[in-house]
Amino acid sequence: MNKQNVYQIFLKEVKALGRDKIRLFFLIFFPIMLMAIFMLAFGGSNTTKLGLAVVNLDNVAGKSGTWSTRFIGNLSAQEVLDVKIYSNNESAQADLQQGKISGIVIIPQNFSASCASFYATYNTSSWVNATVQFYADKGSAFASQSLAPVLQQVLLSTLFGQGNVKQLSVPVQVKPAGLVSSNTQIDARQGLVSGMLIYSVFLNVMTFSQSTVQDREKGVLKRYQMSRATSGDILLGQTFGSMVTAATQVVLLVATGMAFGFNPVGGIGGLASGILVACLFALFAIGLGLVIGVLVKTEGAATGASLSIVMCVAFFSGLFIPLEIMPTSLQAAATVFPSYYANDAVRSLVARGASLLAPQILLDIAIIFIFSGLVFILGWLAYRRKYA
Amino acid sequence: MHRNSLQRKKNANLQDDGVAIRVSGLQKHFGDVRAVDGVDLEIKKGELFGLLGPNGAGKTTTINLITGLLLADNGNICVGGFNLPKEVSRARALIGFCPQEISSIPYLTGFENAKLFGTLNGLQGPALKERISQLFKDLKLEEKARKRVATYSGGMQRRLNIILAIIHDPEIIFLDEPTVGLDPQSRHVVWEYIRSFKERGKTVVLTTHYIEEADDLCDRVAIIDQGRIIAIGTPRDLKQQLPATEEIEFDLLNDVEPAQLEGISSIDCVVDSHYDPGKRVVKVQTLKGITRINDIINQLQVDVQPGEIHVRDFNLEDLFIQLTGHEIRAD
Repeated sequence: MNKQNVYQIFLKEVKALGRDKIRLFFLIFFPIMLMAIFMLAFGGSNTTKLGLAVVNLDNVAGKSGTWSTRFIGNLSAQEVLDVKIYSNNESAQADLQQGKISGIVIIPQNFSASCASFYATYNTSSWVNATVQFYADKGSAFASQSLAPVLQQVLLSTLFGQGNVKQLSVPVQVKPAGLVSSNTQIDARQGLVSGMLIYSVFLNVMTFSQSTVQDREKGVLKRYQMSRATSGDILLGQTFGSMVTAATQVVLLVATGMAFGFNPVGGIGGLASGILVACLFALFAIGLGLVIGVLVKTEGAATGASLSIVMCVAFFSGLFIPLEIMPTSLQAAATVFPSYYANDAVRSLVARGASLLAPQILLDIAIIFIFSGLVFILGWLAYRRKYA
Repeated sequence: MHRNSLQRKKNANLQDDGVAIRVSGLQKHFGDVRAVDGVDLEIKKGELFGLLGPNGAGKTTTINLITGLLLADNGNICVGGFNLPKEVSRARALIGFCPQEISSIPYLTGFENAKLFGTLNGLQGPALKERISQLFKDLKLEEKARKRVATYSGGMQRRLNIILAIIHDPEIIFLDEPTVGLDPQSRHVVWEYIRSFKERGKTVVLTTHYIEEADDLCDRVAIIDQGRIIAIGTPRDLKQQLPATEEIEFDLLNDVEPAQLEGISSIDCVVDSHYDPGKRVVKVQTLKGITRINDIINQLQVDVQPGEIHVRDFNLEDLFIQLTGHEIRAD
């Protein structure tokens, strides 16, 4: 390896970021713009409310039962719900189909009797069993995924009171002991920032593959070949340059997020560790970009292949849509993507305040490292075979 | 110190038998296409050698094979005493290669490009800076050296292309279509510079489809078509293979009878003639027959439009047409 050669190629890459407008847009301005939009969309004090129809059949002589009244009161107290009382299921169903409401709860006739029997005896065979039915708008991911746990929570609080329910109302995915405290709250922005960091770094796949194809089409690769520099010098310089690009990206993105109210749970330490992991993930993106750049023939093909992979991986790795709301099969499929581990690690470091030395984080880092190493070696071998 | 010893080594390799490049039985196929089909070449040290042929004739593939950028299917290649592909990196140390494409980096300045490729070719420090400023001066790019290449005109980019190829002062220089798309002024600058290579004892291999470029610049020319060398020699020797040296064109005021045309064949310098009745033009191919124009007119017994006698010297294109039946610039 010749340090001078590596340094000159590195300089070229760094200058490219500042001077190549397309690269500047895709790697810096576009992610920043996206981050700003996400922060505006998911930040602030606005709360999304779900319209919920309540059909109360628990009537005694035209008067609501005590427990059902309490249950409806607790539902109405939920910030996330906008409760509307309906006299019958049919009119509620009609409104649900028209999208006027997001769900329907039908309180059965024996609801109060059932609740009263729970307190009257510990003998379960003596309980009056009742089932609260609910319908959710399948067209709304939020409604279909969140209504059931909210109703369950309100039902429990109706039965046991607020004091006992707090510990159950943790919407956080529980991690192995010692990693995070299980009562940490994550707002949407915490997860989004982590996802955005990985996504923007992953965009390096596209620029790296494009620049490889451009260099080939322009004959720059021929010049490299004819020079005394080895393929190792060239790739190392390009990799260092792209790592600087990745670091610039994540720092600017975090700054943008913070400007829009993002406050990392993990503090500065967690943030720095997250940036470090994101930069490590850039190695994978560079390696993949190299493989694509060597294999495809045109810049258009490089862009198409890279974008397809970036979009698929962004979806499957839970960068924007939480994996928790996806079917288990997709959740399992996500584990084959290194971006899943990168996202998991950065999210835990930045948004959950986990330690960089926590076993799960170290495992994530090791997996990213293995993936990056494999794909980078593959790209290097392909490059050497063609351009050495 | 290091550069001097390298220079001595370079020269030693080139001085053994006076041959800079020796190629025999060179073949390269791309699928069913025979891009290079049994090329044999011997290029002497200090020679300015041209590969002339139409686009797609196999010129670029040939030099890509000689420089080791492509692997040959068959054949032997020896550059500066080093056999390819075995000793490709040693051979490349002697080579400067200017691709047909504008292969500079557009978002860097000309100076930055030269610094990058100079460093990659083993130069650094004041020697590199001195070399860069000399080359930019020689190729008249001084004023643009600190501007980004994206702002250069086509001619400037072509000139920079050459600078990047020779930044390390190589002994053997390959120039692949170095003047494509250049305006006459830029072409003149490039031609002058290519001539200066010869004065400095460099070996130059130039591919071109411009007849005048091969004719004016090259010591020897190989005419290549469909991957094969169909003629090789000095431009003068090659042109001597043609039966005529020039074509004289007469624009007539009246028509010519076939018998009149046959009459001029009795003049000893006349090689061939034919008449275009539509244009009333007689074309007479002669062997050094310019001084015999009056004899031809007298023999034709025609009135020629005043000032409408045109003489065109035969060139390598005529030889190419004679050998292949089609024009070099057919595309």
